[in-house]
Amino acid sequence: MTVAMSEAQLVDLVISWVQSNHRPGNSRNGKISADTDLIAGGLLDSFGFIDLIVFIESQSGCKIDLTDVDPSEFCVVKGLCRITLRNQ
Amino acid sequence: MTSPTSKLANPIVETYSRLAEHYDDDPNLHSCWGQGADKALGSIHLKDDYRLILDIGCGTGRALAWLASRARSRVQFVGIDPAENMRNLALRRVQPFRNVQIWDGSFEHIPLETGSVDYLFSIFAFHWTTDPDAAVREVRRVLKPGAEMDLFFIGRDNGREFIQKTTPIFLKYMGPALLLESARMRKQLTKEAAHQLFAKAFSPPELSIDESYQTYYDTLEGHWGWWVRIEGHFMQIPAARKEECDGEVKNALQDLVEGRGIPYTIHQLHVRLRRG
Repeated sequence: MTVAMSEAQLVDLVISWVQSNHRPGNSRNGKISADTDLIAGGLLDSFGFIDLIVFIESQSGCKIDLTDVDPSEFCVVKGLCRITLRNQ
Repeated sequence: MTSPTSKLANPIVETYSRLAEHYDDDPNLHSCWGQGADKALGSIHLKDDYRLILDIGCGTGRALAWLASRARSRVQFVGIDPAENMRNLALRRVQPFRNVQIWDGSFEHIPLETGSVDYLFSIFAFHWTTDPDAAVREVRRVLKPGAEMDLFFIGRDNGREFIQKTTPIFLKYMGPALLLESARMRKQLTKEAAHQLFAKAFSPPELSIDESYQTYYDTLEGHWGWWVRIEGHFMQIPAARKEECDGEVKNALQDLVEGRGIPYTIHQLHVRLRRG
């Protein structure tokens, strides 16, 4: 069962997931924030994003619609969380 | 009659077919991928008791022709590929060999009888499968009991140098939805995921999976020579913007240059099946 989440809760969840699942060679323990660009920082590639979206959808109960999403919003932690919550 | 793969046409197959005539151009053959494919092919040793040998994703038939030229004539070779123009080139290449046939097919649809294949190989094709579970079941189906197999394909961490540089550019030109859709076309597995997948149909000690990381250095032009292999990913970038995108990608790759050239690391998985 999933419950409605606040943006702050979702941001924490995403940061925690990225800290455990980021690409090898990018040790950023403790340095990922809501404003971190996950692609420019090399933390996730497109496969990583696929895994992350599956995780977010399973946790939030939201189906994330990426149609017409601004790329610069998508790749930042808080942006991705806002996209998710817009679908709630 | 509907061909076994026509219903499964996808951008990758369509693009391989459209660009087939460029596939054996020198820049691709001499690229890191050409070298990697030759290395995999060189590791294949055909045994005297193989009767039917299958190459899945045979492309233009280079591996089949090379192996057929070294095999006894009583061995039958079959190559399958879903890309029509690739098959046409393969047919021309294997024409001198009466024991080689080229058919339409893919990992998910192998046009051979159950339990008929003695040895199955595939070089850099399995990651294009659209349904890994169905592909493994189909491979299992066509192999004889005691058959052997070598599958070489790219792993999850392939091309790591390029990925970090090019992903922001492809995101800009494709947008998030298309970028992820494009990534889903490749089934790049970790070694652990590959083991879980193949263990559904095969068991140790016959089954083993190795992984390797081999870094190749080349010029920008050298690397661009193998771009023909991945053009299918970019079909949905409007033509007017494609040239601009290519320019940005080239500039980004040029930033990677070091003493020996621009590095590209192939993460290869090798699924091996041997008689117990």
